[in-house]
Amino acid sequence: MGRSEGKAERAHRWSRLGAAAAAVAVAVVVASVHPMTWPQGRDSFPLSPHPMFSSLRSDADVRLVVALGEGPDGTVALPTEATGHRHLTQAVRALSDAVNEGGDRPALLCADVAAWAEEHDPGLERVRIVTARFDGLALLRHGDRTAHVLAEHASCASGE
Amino acid sequence: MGRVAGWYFAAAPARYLAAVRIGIGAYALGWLAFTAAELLALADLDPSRFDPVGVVGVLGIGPLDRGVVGAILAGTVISAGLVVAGWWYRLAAPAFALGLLLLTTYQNSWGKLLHTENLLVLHALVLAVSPAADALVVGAHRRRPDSFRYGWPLRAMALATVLAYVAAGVSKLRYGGLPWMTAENLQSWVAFDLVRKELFGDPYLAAVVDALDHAWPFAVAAVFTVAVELVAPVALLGRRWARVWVAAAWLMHASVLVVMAVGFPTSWSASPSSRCC
Repeated sequence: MGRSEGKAERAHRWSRLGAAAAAVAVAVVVASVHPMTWPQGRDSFPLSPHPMFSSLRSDADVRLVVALGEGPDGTVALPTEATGHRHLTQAVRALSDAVNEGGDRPALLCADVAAWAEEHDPGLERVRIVTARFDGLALLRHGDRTAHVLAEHASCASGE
Repeated sequence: MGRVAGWYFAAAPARYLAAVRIGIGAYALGWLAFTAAELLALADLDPSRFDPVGVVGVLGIGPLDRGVVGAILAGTVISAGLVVAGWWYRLAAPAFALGLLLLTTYQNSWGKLLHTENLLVLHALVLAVSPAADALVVGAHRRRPDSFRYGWPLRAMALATVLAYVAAGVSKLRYGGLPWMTAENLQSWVAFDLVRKELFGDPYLAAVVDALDHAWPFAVAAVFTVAVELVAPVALLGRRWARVWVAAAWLMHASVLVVMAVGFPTSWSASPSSRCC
Protein backbone atom coordinates (compact mmCIF):
# COMPACT_ATOMS: atom_id res chain seq x y z
CA MET A 1 0.00 0.00 0.00
CA GLY A 2 1.37 3.43 -0.94
CA ARG A 3 1.79 6.27 1.49
CA SER A 4 -1.13 8.26 0.10
CA GLU A 5 -3.38 5.20 0.16
CA GLY A 6 -2.48 4.64 3.83
CA LYS A 7 -3.35 8.25 4.57
CA ALA A 8 -6.69 7.93 2.77
CA GLU A 9 -7.43 4.71 4.63
CA ARG A 10 -6.71 6.43 7.96
CA ALA A 11 -8.84 9.44 7.06
CA HIS A 12 -11.69 7.15 6.06
CA ARG A 13 -11.46 5.27 9.38
CA TRP A 14 -11.46 8.52 11.38
CA SER A 15 -14.44 9.88 9.49
CA ARG A 16 -16.34 6.65 10.17
CA LEU A 17 -15.47 6.98 13.86
CA GLY A 18 -16.62 10.59 13.82
CA ALA A 19 -19.91 9.64 12.21
CA ALA A 20 -20.50 6.94 14.83
CA ALA A 21 -19.70 9.41 17.64
CA ALA A 22 -22.09 11.97 16.13
CA ALA A 23 -24.78 9.28 15.88
CA VAL A 24 -24.38 8.59 19.63
CA ALA A 25 -24.84 12.32 20.36
CA VAL A 26 -28.00 12.43 18.27
CA ALA A 27 -29.30 9.27 19.99
CA VAL A 28 -28.61 10.75 23.44
CA VAL A 29 -30.40 14.00 22.59
CA VAL A 30 -33.41 12.26 21.02
CA ALA A 31 -33.64 9.73 23.88
CA SER A 32 -33.54 12.55 26.43
CA VAL A 33 -35.82 15.07 24.72
CA HIS A 34 -38.47 12.70 23.31
CA PRO A 35 -39.90 11.71 26.77
CA MET A 36 -40.61 15.42 27.42
CA THR A 37 -43.30 15.19 24.71
CA TRP A 38 -45.04 12.17 26.27
CA PRO A 39 -48.56 12.66 27.61
CA GLN A 40 -48.92 13.25 31.35
CA GLY A 41 -48.72 10.03 33.34
CA ARG A 42 -46.55 8.15 30.85
CA ASP A 43 -43.15 7.07 32.10
CA SER A 44 -40.57 4.41 31.30
CA PHE A 45 -37.02 3.33 32.09
CA PRO A 46 -34.27 4.37 31.47
CA LEU A 47 -35.92 6.96 29.23
CA SER A 48 -38.14 9.18 31.34
CA PRO A 49 -39.61 12.67 31.59
CA HIS A 50 -38.56 12.53 35.29
CA PRO A 51 -42.01 13.47 36.60
CA MET A 52 -41.40 12.77 40.31
CA PHE A 53 -43.08 15.33 42.60
CA SER A 54 -44.01 17.45 39.58
CA SER A 55 -47.76 17.88 40.15
CA LEU A 56 -49.28 20.37 42.58
CA ARG A 57 -50.21 19.61 46.21
CA SER A 58 -52.12 21.95 48.47
CA ASP A 59 -52.33 20.04 51.77
CA ALA A 60 -50.68 17.31 53.79
CA ASP A 61 -53.73 15.10 54.08
CA VAL A 62 -52.65 11.72 52.83
CA ARG A 63 -55.04 9.28 51.23
CA LEU A 64 -53.27 5.98 50.70
CA VAL A 65 -53.83 2.30 50.18
CA VAL A 66 -52.02 0.68 53.10
CA ALA A 67 -51.63 -2.74 54.63
CA LEU A 68 -52.81 -2.58 58.25
CA GLY A 69 -51.75 -5.20 60.73
CA GLU A 70 -54.07 -5.88 63.68
CA GLY A 71 -52.95 -7.47 66.91
CA PRO A 72 -53.47 -7.34 70.65
CA ASP A 73 -51.57 -4.03 70.81
CA GLY A 74 -53.74 -2.29 68.24
CA THR A 75 -53.49 -1.51 64.55
CA VAL A 76 -50.30 -0.55 62.70
CA ALA A 77 -49.50 0.34 59.11
CA LEU A 78 -47.10 -2.34 57.89
CA PRO A 79 -43.70 -1.29 56.47
CA THR A 80 -42.44 -1.21 52.89
CA GLU A 81 -40.83 -4.66 53.14
CA ALA A 82 -44.21 -6.30 53.88
CA THR A 83 -45.12 -5.84 50.20
CA GLY A 84 -41.90 -7.50 48.98
CA HIS A 85 -40.19 -4.23 48.04
CA ARG A 86 -37.37 -2.21 49.50
CA HIS A 87 -38.38 1.16 48.05
CA LEU A 88 -41.29 3.02 49.59
CA THR A 89 -42.61 4.29 46.26
CA GLN A 90 -42.73 0.75 44.86
CA ALA A 91 -44.63 -0.49 47.91
CA VAL A 92 -47.13 2.38 47.56
CA ARG A 93 -47.56 1.54 43.87
CA ALA A 94 -47.96 -2.21 44.50
CA LEU A 95 -50.76 -1.53 46.98
CA SER A 96 -52.62 0.99 44.81
CA ASP A 97 -52.21 -1.16 41.67
CA ALA A 98 -53.72 -4.16 43.44
CA VAL A 99 -56.76 -2.11 44.43
CA ASN A 100 -57.12 -0.40 41.05
CA GLU A 101 -56.99 -3.70 39.16
CA GLY A 102 -59.51 -5.30 41.54
CA GLY A 103 -60.56 -8.93 41.13
CA ASP A 104 -58.52 -11.24 43.31
CA ARG A 105 -55.48 -8.91 43.32
CA PRO A 106 -56.15 -7.33 46.77
CA ALA A 107 -56.71 -10.79 48.28
CA LEU A 108 -53.50 -12.15 46.73
CA LEU A 109 -51.53 -9.15 47.98
CA CYS A 110 -53.14 -9.57 51.41
CA ALA A 111 -51.94 -13.18 51.48
CA ASP A 112 -48.39 -12.10 50.53
CA VAL A 113 -48.38 -9.47 53.29
CA ALA A 114 -49.85 -11.94 55.80
CA ALA A 115 -47.06 -14.41 55.01
CA TRP A 116 -44.51 -11.66 55.65
CA ALA A 117 -46.29 -10.71 58.89
CA GLU A 118 -46.26 -14.28 60.16
CA GLU A 119 -42.48 -14.37 59.74
CA HIS A 120 -41.60 -10.86 60.91
CA ASP A 121 -44.35 -9.88 63.33
CA PRO A 122 -45.89 -13.07 64.76
CA GLY A 123 -48.04 -11.07 67.22
CA LEU A 124 -50.26 -9.83 64.41
CA GLU A 125 -53.53 -11.67 63.99
CA ARG A 126 -55.02 -10.06 60.92
CA VAL A 127 -53.95 -8.09 57.85
CA ARG A 128 -56.26 -5.68 56.04
CA ILE A 129 -55.67 -3.91 52.72
CA VAL A 130 -57.52 -0.60 53.03
CA THR A 131 -57.76 2.86 51.55
CA ALA A 132 -57.28 5.20 54.48
CA ARG A 133 -56.91 8.90 55.14
CA PHE A 134 -54.29 10.21 57.54
CA ASP A 135 -54.09 13.74 58.92
CA GLY A 136 -50.52 14.47 57.86
CA LEU A 137 -49.72 17.29 60.24
CA ALA A 138 -51.38 15.56 63.24
CA LEU A 139 -49.35 12.46 62.46
CA LEU A 140 -46.03 14.28 62.06
CA ARG A 141 -46.44 16.73 64.98
CA HIS A 142 -48.37 14.68 67.51
CA GLY A 143 -47.81 11.09 66.40
CA ASP A 144 -51.51 10.61 65.74
CA ARG A 145 -51.43 7.59 63.42
CA THR A 146 -55.20 7.11 63.31
CA ALA A 147 -56.17 5.57 60.00
CA HIS A 148 -59.58 6.80 58.87
CA VAL A 149 -60.54 3.78 56.80
CA LEU A 150 -62.44 4.82 53.68
CA ALA A 151 -62.72 1.37 52.09
CA GLU A 152 -61.59 -2.16 52.89
CA HIS A 153 -60.38 -4.19 49.89
CA ALA A 154 -59.20 -7.43 51.50
CA SER A 155 -58.78 -8.98 54.89
CA CYS A 156 -56.94 -12.15 55.85
CA ALA A 157 -55.57 -13.90 58.92
CA SER A 158 -51.83 -13.51 59.49
CA GLY A 159 -50.03 -16.53 58.07
CA GLU A 160 -53.05 -17.49 56.00
CA MET B 1 -23.03 24.05 14.32
CA GLY B 2 -19.26 24.27 13.91
CA ARG B 3 -18.85 25.36 17.54
CA VAL B 4 -21.04 22.49 18.75
CA ALA B 5 -19.02 20.00 16.70
CA GLY B 6 -15.78 21.59 17.93
CA TRP B 7 -16.93 21.14 21.54
CA TYR B 8 -18.18 17.58 21.03
CA PHE B 9 -15.11 16.38 19.13
CA ALA B 10 -12.46 18.20 21.19
CA ALA B 11 -9.56 15.95 22.19
CA ALA B 12 -9.29 14.61 25.74
CA PRO B 13 -6.74 12.45 27.56
CA ALA B 14 -7.47 8.72 27.55
CA ARG B 15 -7.14 8.64 31.34
CA TYR B 16 -10.15 10.97 31.83
CA LEU B 17 -12.46 8.54 30.05
CA ALA B 18 -10.80 5.61 31.80
CA ALA B 19 -11.38 7.23 35.19
CA VAL B 20 -15.07 7.62 34.38
CA ARG B 21 -15.13 3.94 33.30
CA ILE B 22 -13.73 2.91 36.69
CA GLY B 23 -16.13 5.17 38.58
CA ILE B 24 -19.22 3.93 36.77
CA GLY B 25 -18.15 0.28 36.95
CA ALA B 26 -17.35 0.52 40.67
CA TYR B 27 -20.60 2.31 41.45
CA ALA B 28 -22.55 -0.32 39.48
CA LEU B 29 -20.80 -3.09 41.42
CA GLY B 30 -21.89 -1.45 44.67
CA TRP B 31 -25.45 -1.07 43.39
CA LEU B 32 -25.56 -4.71 42.27
CA ALA B 33 -24.29 -5.90 45.67
CA PHE B 34 -26.84 -3.70 47.47
CA THR B 35 -29.76 -4.75 45.25
CA ALA B 36 -28.96 -8.42 44.57
CA ALA B 37 -31.18 -9.83 47.34
CA GLU B 38 -34.12 -7.66 46.26
CA LEU B 39 -33.71 -8.66 42.59
CA LEU B 40 -33.64 -12.36 43.49
CA ALA B 41 -36.65 -12.00 45.79
CA LEU B 42 -38.77 -10.57 42.94
CA ALA B 43 -39.34 -14.21 41.91
CA ASP B 44 -41.47 -14.64 45.06
CA LEU B 45 -43.91 -11.84 44.17
CA ASP B 46 -47.37 -12.45 42.73
CA PRO B 47 -46.78 -12.47 38.91
CA SER B 48 -49.90 -10.33 38.39
CA ARG B 49 -47.93 -7.44 39.88
CA PHE B 50 -45.55 -7.55 36.90
CA ASP B 51 -45.97 -4.51 34.62
CA PRO B 52 -43.15 -4.54 32.04
CA VAL B 53 -41.55 -1.27 30.95
CA GLY B 54 -38.79 -0.29 28.53
CA VAL B 55 -36.68 -3.02 27.01
CA VAL B 56 -38.36 -5.68 29.19
CA GLY B 57 -41.70 -4.84 27.56
CA VAL B 58 -40.22 -4.55 24.07
CA LEU B 59 -38.60 -7.99 24.33
CA GLY B 60 -41.75 -9.52 25.81
CA ILE B 61 -39.92 -10.71 28.92
CA GLY B 62 -42.22 -12.00 31.67
CA PRO B 63 -41.57 -12.70 35.35
CA LEU B 64 -38.27 -14.59 35.55
CA ASP B 65 -37.20 -17.52 37.70
CA ARG B 66 -34.77 -16.81 40.49
CA GLY B 67 -32.11 -18.87 38.64
CA VAL B 68 -32.39 -16.76 35.48
CA VAL B 69 -32.15 -13.50 37.44
CA GLY B 70 -29.19 -14.97 39.34
CA ALA B 71 -27.42 -15.88 36.10
CA ILE B 72 -27.93 -12.39 34.62
CA LEU B 73 -26.81 -10.88 37.91
CA ALA B 74 -23.65 -13.02 38.01
CA GLY B 75 -22.82 -12.17 34.39
CA THR B 76 -23.33 -8.46 35.03
CA VAL B 77 -21.18 -8.52 38.18
CA ILE B 78 -18.36 -10.33 36.37
CA SER B 79 -18.51 -7.99 33.37
CA ALA B 80 -18.62 -4.95 35.72
CA GLY B 81 -15.46 -6.25 37.41
CA LEU B 82 -13.78 -6.63 34.02
CA VAL B 83 -14.86 -3.10 33.05
CA VAL B 84 -13.30 -1.69 36.22
CA ALA B 85 -10.08 -3.60 35.55
CA GLY B 86 -10.13 -2.70 31.86
CA TRP B 87 -9.79 -6.31 30.76
CA TRP B 88 -11.48 -7.80 27.64
CA TYR B 89 -13.19 -4.45 27.41
CA ARG B 90 -14.73 -4.86 23.94
CA LEU B 91 -16.72 -7.85 25.17
CA ALA B 92 -17.10 -6.91 28.82
CA ALA B 93 -18.41 -3.35 28.34
CA PRO B 94 -21.42 -4.23 26.12
CA ALA B 95 -22.22 -7.23 28.36
CA PHE B 96 -22.06 -4.96 31.43
CA ALA B 97 -24.26 -2.27 29.86
CA LEU B 98 -26.87 -4.72 28.58
CA GLY B 99 -26.94 -6.68 31.84
CA LEU B 100 -27.38 -3.48 33.84
CA LEU B 101 -30.10 -2.25 31.46
CA LEU B 102 -31.95 -5.54 31.80
CA LEU B 103 -31.68 -5.79 35.60
CA THR B 104 -32.65 -2.18 36.35
CA THR B 105 -35.54 -2.29 33.85
CA TYR B 106 -36.70 -5.62 35.27
CA GLN B 107 -36.63 -4.18 38.80
CA ASN B 108 -38.69 -1.22 37.58
CA SER B 109 -41.23 -3.57 35.97
CA TRP B 110 -42.63 -4.53 39.37
CA GLY B 111 -44.37 -1.32 40.33
CA LYS B 112 -43.52 2.33 40.66
CA LEU B 113 -40.66 3.49 38.46
CA LEU B 114 -37.57 4.67 40.29
CA HIS B 115 -35.51 7.48 38.81
CA THR B 116 -32.23 6.90 40.56
CA GLU B 117 -30.50 4.59 38.07
CA ASN B 118 -31.52 6.20 34.74
CA LEU B 119 -28.26 8.06 34.27
CA LEU B 120 -26.16 5.13 35.42
CA VAL B 121 -27.64 2.96 32.67
CA LEU B 122 -27.40 5.64 29.96
CA HIS B 123 -23.77 6.29 30.87
CA ALA B 124 -22.98 2.56 30.84
CA LEU B 125 -24.49 2.31 27.33
CA VAL B 126 -22.29 5.17 26.08
CA LEU B 127 -19.24 3.60 27.74
CA ALA B 128 -20.01 0.32 25.96
CA VAL B 129 -19.30 1.88 22.56
CA SER B 130 -16.30 3.94 23.59
CA PRO B 131 -12.56 3.15 23.89
CA ALA B 132 -12.56 3.59 27.66
CA ALA B 133 -9.92 0.94 28.36
CA ASP B 134 -7.04 2.68 26.57
CA ALA B 135 -5.65 3.84 29.93
CA LEU B 136 -5.72 2.90 33.62
CA VAL B 137 -5.85 -0.82 32.87
CA VAL B 138 -4.81 -3.22 35.63
CA GLY B 139 -1.46 -4.81 34.78
CA ALA B 140 -0.83 -2.76 31.62
CA HIS B 141 0.82 0.57 30.90
CA ARG B 142 -0.76 2.05 27.81
CA ARG B 143 0.16 5.50 26.59
CA ARG B 144 -2.14 7.04 24.06
CA PRO B 145 -2.07 10.61 22.74
CA ASP B 146 -5.02 12.88 23.50
CA SER B 147 -7.75 12.29 20.96
CA PHE B 148 -11.36 13.13 20.14
CA ARG B 149 -11.99 9.37 20.62
CA TYR B 150 -11.70 9.94 24.39
CA GLY B 151 -13.53 13.25 24.41
CA TRP B 152 -16.83 12.55 22.71
CA PRO B 153 -17.99 9.81 25.12
CA LEU B 154 -17.46 12.18 28.07
CA ARG B 155 -19.47 14.86 26.31
CA ALA B 156 -22.21 12.42 25.31
CA MET B 157 -22.53 11.45 28.99
CA ALA B 158 -22.54 15.13 29.99
CA LEU B 159 -25.33 15.76 27.45
CA ALA B 160 -27.39 12.90 28.93
CA THR B 161 -26.84 14.32 32.42
CA VAL B 162 -27.88 17.91 31.74
CA LEU B 163 -30.87 16.86 29.62
CA ALA B 164 -32.14 14.63 32.47
CA TYR B 165 -32.19 17.71 34.72
CA VAL B 166 -33.92 19.77 32.03
CA ALA B 167 -36.57 17.04 31.67
CA ALA B 168 -37.24 17.15 35.43
CA GLY B 169 -37.64 20.95 35.30
CA VAL B 170 -39.89 20.81 32.25
CA SER B 171 -42.11 18.21 33.96
CA LYS B 172 -42.60 20.50 36.97
CA LEU B 173 -43.66 23.41 34.78
CA ARG B 174 -45.79 21.19 32.53
CA TYR B 175 -47.72 19.44 35.28
CA GLY B 176 -47.55 21.93 38.13
CA GLY B 177 -47.08 25.21 36.26
CA LEU B 178 -45.65 28.30 37.92
CA PRO B 179 -47.55 27.52 41.21
CA TRP B 180 -45.14 24.59 41.60
CA MET B 181 -42.59 27.17 42.72
CA THR B 182 -44.59 28.25 45.77
CA ALA B 183 -43.79 27.48 49.39
CA GLU B 184 -47.23 25.92 49.92
CA ASN B 185 -46.71 23.36 47.17
CA LEU B 186 -43.26 22.28 48.33
CA GLN B 187 -44.29 22.22 52.01
CA SER B 188 -47.23 20.00 51.09
CA TRP B 189 -45.03 17.66 49.07
CA VAL B 190 -42.47 17.38 51.87
CA ALA B 191 -45.19 16.77 54.48
CA PHE B 192 -46.86 14.18 52.23
CA ASP B 193 -43.53 12.42 51.71
CA LEU B 194 -42.69 12.44 55.43
CA VAL B 195 -46.10 10.99 56.29
CA ARG B 196 -45.53 8.10 53.89
CA LYS B 197 -42.08 7.53 55.38
CA GLU B 198 -43.51 7.56 58.89
CA LEU B 199 -46.27 5.11 57.95
CA PHE B 200 -44.07 2.75 55.96
CA GLY B 201 -41.15 2.82 58.38
CA ASP B 202 -38.64 4.70 56.19
CA PRO B 203 -36.09 6.98 57.86
CA TYR B 204 -36.31 10.79 57.83
CA LEU B 205 -34.93 13.71 59.78
CA ALA B 206 -37.33 14.70 62.58
CA ALA B 207 -36.10 18.32 62.51
CA VAL B 208 -37.67 18.73 59.07
CA VAL B 209 -41.12 18.48 60.70
CA ASP B 210 -40.37 21.67 62.67
CA ALA B 211 -39.14 23.37 59.49
CA LEU B 212 -42.58 22.85 57.95
CA ASP B 213 -43.80 25.81 60.06
CA HIS B 214 -41.62 28.20 58.06
CA ALA B 215 -42.59 29.09 54.50
CA TRP B 216 -39.59 31.00 53.22
CA PRO B 217 -37.04 28.13 53.03
CA PHE B 218 -39.50 26.16 50.93
CA ALA B 219 -40.20 29.13 48.63
CA VAL B 220 -36.47 29.59 48.04
CA ALA B 221 -35.91 25.85 47.56
CA ALA B 222 -38.76 25.53 45.05
CA VAL B 223 -37.46 28.35 42.83
CA PHE B 224 -33.87 27.17 43.21
CA THR B 225 -34.76 23.58 42.23
CA VAL B 226 -36.53 24.54 39.02
CA ALA B 227 -33.79 27.02 38.13
CA VAL B 228 -31.01 24.46 38.62
CA GLU B 229 -32.87 21.94 36.48
CA LEU B 230 -33.80 24.24 33.63
CA VAL B 231 -30.42 25.96 33.29
CA ALA B 232 -28.43 22.72 33.46
CA PRO B 233 -27.12 23.09 29.87
CA VAL B 234 -25.01 26.09 30.97
CA ALA B 235 -22.68 23.48 32.47
CA LEU B 236 -21.60 22.70 28.92
CA LEU B 237 -20.50 26.27 28.20
CA GLY B 238 -17.09 26.00 29.84
CA ARG B 239 -15.21 25.13 32.99
CA ARG B 240 -16.33 28.12 35.02
CA TRP B 241 -19.99 27.57 34.16
CA ALA B 242 -19.63 23.86 34.86
CA ARG B 243 -18.15 24.50 38.32
CA VAL B 244 -20.92 26.91 39.26
CA TRP B 245 -23.71 24.65 38.00
CA VAL B 246 -22.23 21.50 39.59
CA ALA B 247 -21.98 23.31 42.94
CA ALA B 248 -25.61 24.41 42.64
CA ALA B 249 -26.76 20.90 41.66
CA TRP B 250 -24.87 19.37 44.60
CA LEU B 251 -26.48 21.88 46.94
CA MET B 252 -29.91 20.94 45.58
CA HIS B 253 -29.26 17.21 46.00
CA ALA B 254 -27.85 17.73 49.50
CA SER B 255 -31.02 19.63 50.45
CA VAL B 256 -33.24 16.90 49.01
CA LEU B 257 -31.21 14.26 50.86
CA VAL B 258 -31.55 16.10 54.19
CA VAL B 259 -35.22 17.05 53.82
CA MET B 260 -36.66 14.02 52.05
CA ALA B 261 -33.97 11.35 52.54
CA VAL B 262 -33.94 10.84 48.77
CA GLY B 263 -30.48 10.40 47.28
CA PHE B 264 -29.51 10.40 43.61
CA PRO B 265 -26.04 8.88 43.95
CA THR B 266 -25.44 8.67 40.21
CA SER B 267 -26.26 12.33 39.77
CA TRP B 268 -23.88 13.26 42.58
CA SER B 269 -21.04 11.65 40.69
CA ALA B 270 -22.24 12.18 37.12
CA SER B 271 -22.51 15.95 37.14
CA PRO B 272 -20.59 17.10 34.07
CA SER B 273 -17.20 17.67 35.56
CA SER B 274 -15.40 20.90 34.99
CA ARG B 275 -12.42 18.93 33.73
CA CYS B 276 -14.17 16.91 31.07
CA CYS B 277 -16.26 19.75 29.41
